[in-house]
Amino acid sequence: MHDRRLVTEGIRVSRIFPKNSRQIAAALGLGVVLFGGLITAGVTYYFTPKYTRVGYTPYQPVPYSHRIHAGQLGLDCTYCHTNVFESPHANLPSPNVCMNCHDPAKGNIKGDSPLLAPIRDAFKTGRPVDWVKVHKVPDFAYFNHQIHVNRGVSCVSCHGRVDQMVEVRHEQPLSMSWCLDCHRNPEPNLRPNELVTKLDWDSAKDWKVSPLTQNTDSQEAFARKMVKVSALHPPTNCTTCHR
Amino acid sequence: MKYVLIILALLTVLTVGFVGLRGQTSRQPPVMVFNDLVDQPKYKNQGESAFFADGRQMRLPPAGAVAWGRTPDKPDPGNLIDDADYYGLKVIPLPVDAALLQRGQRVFNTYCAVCHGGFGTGNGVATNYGMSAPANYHTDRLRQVTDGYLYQVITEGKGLMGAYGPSIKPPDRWAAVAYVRALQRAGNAKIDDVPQNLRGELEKQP
Ligand code: HEC
Ligand code: HEC
Ligand code: HEC
Ligand code: HEC
Ligand code: HEC
Ligand code: HEC
Repeated sequence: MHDRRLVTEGIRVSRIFPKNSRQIAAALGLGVVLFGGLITAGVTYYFTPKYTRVGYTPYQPVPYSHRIHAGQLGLDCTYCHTNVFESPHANLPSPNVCMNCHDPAKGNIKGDSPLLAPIRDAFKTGRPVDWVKVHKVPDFAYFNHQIHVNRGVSCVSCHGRVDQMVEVRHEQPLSMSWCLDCHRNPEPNLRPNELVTKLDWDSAKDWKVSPLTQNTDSQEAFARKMVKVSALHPPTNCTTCHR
Repeated sequence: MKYVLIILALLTVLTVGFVGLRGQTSRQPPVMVFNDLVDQPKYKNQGESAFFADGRQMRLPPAGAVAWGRTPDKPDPGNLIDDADYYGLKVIPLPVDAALLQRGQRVFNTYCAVCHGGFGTGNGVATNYGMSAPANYHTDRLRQVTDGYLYQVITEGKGLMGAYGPSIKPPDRWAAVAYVRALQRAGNAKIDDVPQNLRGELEKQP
């Protein structure tokens, strides 16, 4: 009697929970974990500047190529970005800089190219060329070119091999963690000031060959000296960049 | 179980298929969700203005303004009001030392060497692409012109050469002048100009 009751109750319970309820619960649990994991992975992969910014390559009003001008012709970055060593902002060149070479009145290079029409118009009317900004730090953060390039941080550390780009491409995430990674350990990115605009310079290969650096032992020794002797300590407290 | 896995795999493939991988070239600006502080409505360097007719946020100085670092009442060298005040000078108004020449070398190699060549003979890289005949500095006429004239050529340009005043600051222009002078001197040098202890291999050459 006693036993039978138990059995009938058991039957009632199993009507509510199907026989394979354990498997279903396990599958659901695994599904939730897998799904949650995938969502988390997706968010960390896609919702960070490494995905949202890197690779941004806007169309420009003039198909100006750094590969021709900085690479092939070997123009120094400061020929056009004249203020980068003296100002927080790296200026884009005004049309008269381009017209030094491309002005038809001076009978120069590709003076009648249709690709250069916006530059010629701007030169005549004084209306600026509508270049599209590629790199942008949010307005609540403060960035300064001068302090970086005068301390031996090369353009290549933050902009990639611009001298090989036909169109300027966003190469680095420019996120806060990216800034801090270097501020905590700047040494691998340091080089003598004269070489800041030499993007093809490779400290591993060229250190022993270049007459500028031959006299110092190695990049590591040079960087250590910069940190010790010239007291190079990139700050990491919040007010440095959020002022 | 199988279905759950298949659906998740499909979702993953679909997501990656639609939004791609990191670092892919994109023509669209990065998406911003909360934009208020990121793009503040204020005037920025080289920004575009809807208010001024010429579209610039950065305004030109009004006529008669004295540039920062130049004083109207102290006309000492390096502090003149107007570039034209320099054009008459016979010699460089700054002390010419090794530091100025090194600065000059950097300025020259940045701004002038593309056209005039590293040695100033007028055969820079740009001439391979149709740049019309930049001057050769190693001529009697250019050796005899005054330093102030070279300064004027850099500031205003001359003939087929554009103006470099907007790009190069006055002290750097003088540094370039000093370096051009050094090149001219080197192009016209005799063995006696080289100090005895530095001659080395030079003497053996004809
Ligand atoms: C002949 C002139 C010229 C030279 C030389 C030059 N640039 Fe530029 N640069 C420009 C112009 C014009 C633009 C704007 C158009 C564009 O973004 O492609 C620009 C844009 C850029 C940008 C993107 C700016 C943004 O909107 O975020 C970077 C970064 C840059 N240059 C770096 C360099 C570096 C590094 C060098 C030296 C290897 C260099 N440039 C040499 C003319 C020049
Ligand atoms: C030092 C001289 C020099 C300066 C300064 C210069 N360029 Fe050029 N540019 C050249 C040369 C050389 C070429 C290549 C011509 C060729 O391929 O035959 C060229 C080619 C170009 C072309 C391609 C033209 C065509 O029809 O194929 C464009 C566009 C251009 N430059 C834009 C610019 C812009 C914009 C600036 C100013 C930021 C500028 N350049 C400044 C020398 C210069
Ligand atoms: C420490 C990293 C770093 C270095 C080194 C660096 N840049 Fe930048 N650059 C940036 C950042 C960040 C921005 C975006 C600035 C902003 O939005 O205000 C930028 C923007 C620019 C711009 C667009 C105009 C502007 O200021 O917003 C140009 C042009 C440029 N850089 C050229 C250069 C050149 C040329 C060099 C080398 C001489 C260089 N940069 C070195 C990080 C760097
Ligand atoms: C590749 C290395 C590197 C990267 C990347 C970098 N920095 Fe720096 N930063 C430095 C160095 C080196 C200094 C100079 C420290 C010194 O002189 O003691 C510096 C100094 C600064 C200063 C000046 C601090 C002062 O002394 O007032 C500011 C502001 C700054 N960085 C902001 C930024 C921001 C914002 C970013 C990211 C967009 C960034 N930095 C990315 C290396 C870097
Ligand atoms: C080296 C410069 C630097 C320092 C130091 C720094 N930040 Fe930032 N911070 C940035 C930059 C650049 C951004 C913008 C990042 C982006 O847009 O991806 C930022 C963004 C932020 C944001 C907004 C994040 C978002 O995505 O909206 C907060 C909040 C912030 N920082 C807080 C801090 C605090 C708190 C500290 C001190 C512990 C600090 N920061 C120190 C450079 C810095
Ligand atoms: C874009 C090419 C170009 C660049 C860059 C350039 N020049 Fe010239 N330069 C010329 C040309 C072309 C002439 C010939 C002008 C003429 O005779 O019409 C010339 C002529 C000269 C002359 C001779 C003037 C005369 O009286 O005959 C001097 C001096 C000179 N340049 C100095 C410089 C200096 C210094 C720089 C660097 C700041 C420089 N140039 C940069 C193209 C250039």
